[in-house]
Amino acid sequence: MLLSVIILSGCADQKPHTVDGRLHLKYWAVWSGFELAAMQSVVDLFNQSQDKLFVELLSISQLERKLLVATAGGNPPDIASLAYEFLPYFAQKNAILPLDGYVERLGVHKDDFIPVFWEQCLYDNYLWGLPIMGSAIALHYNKAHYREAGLDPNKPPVTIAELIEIENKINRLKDDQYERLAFLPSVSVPEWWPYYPPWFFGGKLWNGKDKLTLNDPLCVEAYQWVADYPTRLGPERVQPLRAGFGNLFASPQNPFLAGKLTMIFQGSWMANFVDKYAPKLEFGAAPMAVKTPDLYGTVIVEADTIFIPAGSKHPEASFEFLRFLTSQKANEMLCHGFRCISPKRERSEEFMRNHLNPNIRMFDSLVMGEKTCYAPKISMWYEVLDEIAVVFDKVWLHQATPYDALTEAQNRLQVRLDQEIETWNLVSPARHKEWDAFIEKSRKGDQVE
Amino acid sequence: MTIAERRDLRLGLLFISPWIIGFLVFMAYPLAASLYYSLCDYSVLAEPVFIGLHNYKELLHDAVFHQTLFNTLIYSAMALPVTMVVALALALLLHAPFPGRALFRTAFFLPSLVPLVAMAILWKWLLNTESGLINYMLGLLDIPAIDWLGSTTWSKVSMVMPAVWGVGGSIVIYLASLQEVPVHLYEAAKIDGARFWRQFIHVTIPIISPVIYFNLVMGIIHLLQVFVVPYIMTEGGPARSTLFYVQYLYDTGFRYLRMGYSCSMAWILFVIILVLTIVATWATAKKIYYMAEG
Repeated sequence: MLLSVIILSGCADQKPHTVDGRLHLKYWAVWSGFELAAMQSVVDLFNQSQDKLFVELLSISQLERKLLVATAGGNPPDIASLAYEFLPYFAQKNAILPLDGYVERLGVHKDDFIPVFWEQCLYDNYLWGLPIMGSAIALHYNKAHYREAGLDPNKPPVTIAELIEIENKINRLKDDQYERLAFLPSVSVPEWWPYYPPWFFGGKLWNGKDKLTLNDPLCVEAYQWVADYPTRLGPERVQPLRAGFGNLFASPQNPFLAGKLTMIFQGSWMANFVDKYAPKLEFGAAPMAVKTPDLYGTVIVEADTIFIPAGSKHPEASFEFLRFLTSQKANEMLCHGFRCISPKRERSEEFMRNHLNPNIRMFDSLVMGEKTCYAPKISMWYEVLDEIAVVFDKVWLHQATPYDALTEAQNRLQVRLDQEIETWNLVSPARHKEWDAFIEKSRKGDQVE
Repeated sequence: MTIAERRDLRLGLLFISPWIIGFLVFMAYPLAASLYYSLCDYSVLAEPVFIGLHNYKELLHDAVFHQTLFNTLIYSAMALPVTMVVALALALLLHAPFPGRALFRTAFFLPSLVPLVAMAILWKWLLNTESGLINYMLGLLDIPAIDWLGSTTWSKVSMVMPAVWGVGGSIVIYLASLQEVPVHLYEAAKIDGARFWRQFIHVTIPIISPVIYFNLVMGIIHLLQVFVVPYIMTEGGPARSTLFYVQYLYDTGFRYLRMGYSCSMAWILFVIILVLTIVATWATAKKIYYMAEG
């Protein structure tokens, strides 16, 4: 009994203050390795600048699940970071706090941020997090391969037709197997962005409100493009490569880093992995090829956000750290460490000049442009993502036609979305009241710390 | 009840109170709560709302639920006989006297000590289409590379392999039971002219039948709840071909936060396991021989 009591008491929140009397705040983030080290150096900078607060950074795998369990258990961290797409999910579950009141009172301005990154933090007209880093997903290509194939390394494909033309020049068979492949839509993608092809064909995944549009003709055309790869290159030659390359992303065996694959659709963070695993690789980055030239420049953008979980015991003190991370000096240091884009409009020339991502200016111009797209703000995004991943599998393995696979997913998900909307319509008045009360309180600054 | 008896009762209850409290807090309450939540719309972060049998009705029409149930039954039907036969065959080999027997016994038992996560990652690498050791070995025999984890044809077979690799626990149980078979029965059979196979069928199998039954029931329970290895190796893919019952239950509860729906799945799984165990017990009742009964 005594042992149980001791063990259980160990689970309770502890250490509200450090030995020097500073308030101890716990910050959960998903990063590990050199990315965690980059974040730690910014946290250290904050801790050095403070005599009232101390932030402890903890690397947590599968943070999104653990955070919900911790929040439900009444013992969440004070601060957490995740990609923007989780914010609607957390907000609707009442697991995070709206920041509108703090932002107004403590001087964080919407206009200081690149609009798309700020938008990604909004849901249901409330602000749920602050963007601290930005990324764009683009076509990374091996310049040496281009030269060897007699192609201009400064002219990546603009249209899908050009992409296929380039592929035909680069693809190289040996003993009936590809020893070099130009591009495969399935590498790295199904696990992260199985939903990306429609945008490059001018398609959309939903109407922005209450209807999914997965089997829209443009979406069907986009997944037909995916299905055409095994048809064109030989299913027995390329279908197995997906699983073969699947778990090699952060390693020198990554097919792009190892020179087996000429082009890969990846985030701006790819420069970090090139530096670490293939520093001699000469690569370029460009917007993904599109169906028609007018769509060129279409780019998937992603903000890493920082937010305050519901149940955080020190929300105002936590916001102080959020504000620090969006200050120019700290934010540039952070984005420099991650080789990514700063979500802020203003950036020093020094930041741009010394940036370790050689393609930073290209990425920067893409996110400032008007052809940005990102995952729908749906609280059941997880379910949509899982279902689209199944569509991708079926299409890639030729187990269903794109239309059939997309229609099946559409029918299943629309029922679930209707259920979610119905439930939300019942619950939202109470939620809005609760959130408005919190915003009013945080606007006045009468939080008990 | 006398004063002394009452005192003994109090003391007895006091001494077993850690178990009683543990049972009530960690078993009885969660069981009762999950039964109640299975009748609710419950997202963990908000109060549960009673909706009667709605979750169970929805499961009837959930195509993914049907697919996971089908996947799990197919996987169990493949893995159960293979693991049982392999474990028994290896136990028989390791029971025979030969030099270095202890070393081999240890070698076959060791994989069952490997944590499941490590085992899954190990097999993920072994079965890698491009750089996996298994495809490399097949290549030496001029057999073309197999897309173990990327094709729906092979993905379930790939899940059976780690299960077979981890049969060390069953081997130990079989070995212990084989050592219990009275030698005089073999001697009598030998005198009657029975060779190895007949001895195995008419002496070994009846004597170790309670252990075979035990492994059968444990196998059913264990395999129907398969989770860690496929979750790490394929996350249910490709095209949900390795999405098993418990992973869907986990995703529904902890990923989609539909805890009520997830609880109803848990209760259905409980009923399925219970029914299969009763069927296995009933079907084998007349075949099991307990030595103590004579």
